[in-house]
Amino acid sequence: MYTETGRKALRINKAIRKLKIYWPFAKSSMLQALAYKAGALFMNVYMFMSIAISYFLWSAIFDSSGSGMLQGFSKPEMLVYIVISAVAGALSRVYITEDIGREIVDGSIATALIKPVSYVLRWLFSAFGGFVVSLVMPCWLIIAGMIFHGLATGSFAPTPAGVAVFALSALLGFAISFLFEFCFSLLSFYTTYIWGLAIFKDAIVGLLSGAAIPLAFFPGAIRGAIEFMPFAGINYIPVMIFLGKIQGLDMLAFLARQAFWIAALSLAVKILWGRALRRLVVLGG
Amino acid sequence: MRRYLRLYKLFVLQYLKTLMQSKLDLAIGIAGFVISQASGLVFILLVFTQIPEINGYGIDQMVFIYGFSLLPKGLDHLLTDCIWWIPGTFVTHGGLDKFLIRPLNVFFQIACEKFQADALGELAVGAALVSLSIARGAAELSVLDVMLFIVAVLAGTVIYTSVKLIAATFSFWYKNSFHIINTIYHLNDFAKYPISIYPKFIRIALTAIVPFAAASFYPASYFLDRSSLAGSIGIAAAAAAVSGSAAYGFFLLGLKSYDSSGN
Repeated sequence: MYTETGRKALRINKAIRKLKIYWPFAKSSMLQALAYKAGALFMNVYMFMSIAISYFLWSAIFDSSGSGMLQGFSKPEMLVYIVISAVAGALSRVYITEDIGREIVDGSIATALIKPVSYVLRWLFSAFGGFVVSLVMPCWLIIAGMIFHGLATGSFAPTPAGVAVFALSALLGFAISFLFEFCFSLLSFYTTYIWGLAIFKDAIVGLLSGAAIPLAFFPGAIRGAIEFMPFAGINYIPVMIFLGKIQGLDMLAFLARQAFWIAALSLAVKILWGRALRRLVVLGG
Repeated sequence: MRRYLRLYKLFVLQYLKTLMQSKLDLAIGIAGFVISQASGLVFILLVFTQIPEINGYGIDQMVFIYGFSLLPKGLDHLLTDCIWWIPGTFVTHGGLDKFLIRPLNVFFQIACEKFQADALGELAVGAALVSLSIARGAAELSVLDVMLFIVAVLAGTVIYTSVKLIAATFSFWYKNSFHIINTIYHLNDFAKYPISIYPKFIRIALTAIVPFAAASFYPASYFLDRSSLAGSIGIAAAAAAVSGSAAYGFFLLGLKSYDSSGN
């Protein structure tokens, strides 16, 4: 018979053991991301390019509009939205679809499955490595720059609490993104052309997550539906929290919505993974 | 020349056969590119529910510019998608060996390696947007204009191919140059919108260094604003000639320093 504290200690021990087993997957994906320094550098250049395009485009849009506000955004707010949305996009980007797809198509998933390691957790940690790299590399530099810029011009002043909640919401966004990508990559059990499907998916997610344009720009009824979908939790919700456009009780409700989607998608992963595995046929060895 | 045309026809027919084998993949690829480009259109439509024009361009003109930019991009994508494989498959893994032992132009063989039918999605969206915006009065094309339009699209295609080829050729010296091509190629995102929204240094870079603006915005402005022929399609043709010969020369230079990876 364990005492209550004993049981607790046991549970913590178990968690630490799990972390020890899976942490190397996170570490190796971090090292991989940093190994090709030119590659990492060019990824950042690419990100800055996308920010620059949106920046100049929105500047021109606001300058041509004549009014200072568009759908509740002032020009400085929109520029912050673009930059922070790119940060949230980098944090939530999960590069597992192609890797999982390749393992399924070429059959190397068989060797992965006979190891005493959970397939889902392995990729979760691997993706988390990417999250950490994005967190350390460009993102905080940009966020620090934005805060400084906001304070200097007085246009926008994020509070430390706001930044902290943004970080939490972005982490939840990463979890939603991971679970969705994992479900998506299981399509490799049914088609070998996952690359073509990924283009399709990226376009849809870009639009519905608020990365392409704030969801506030969608017309009323559609907007409500899109805001409820899981994709809003990947980008739109964290960014709106950073901007202070979602506050107080609303903020709690939106965080709860993110948590709800994490629970729902976890369940979906469980069900779909079991189903897909039954379909798996690997020839030869 | 004739021999090459005949061979190309054979290659394409052969490739179409493999495509027909997996019609689902073909449908997925085309649909993927249609949706991907259509989402850019959604952005423009949503913005224009708020404002009447951007820098003097109304919604029809913006759609024309956006659609026009997809035509050279899609055509290049259709014909020479395999340039993307130069760093990995061809140089790092030594796949170029098989091309070098055949009595045929190496670049031609790279182009033949794949006929990227997914690009038909891009081309369809581009053609639809251009036709729609013309029907709604964005521009009026005479017979001469239609011919100039074709010339402009072809020149733009050469520019796209050249930029890709130059970026990919770096892999003969720096093996892992995939990210270089990726980043340089995506500079074309700048050229989907009127170039006048950017500051001067970006405009110069997109005209003289990586001439994506010459591939899409300048020629499009000829049909929209009736800007001078030399300053629009002239720039496109000149940029195509210069970048085309530079890219091919650079590629030949790279080919000289190719050493097979062995097998």
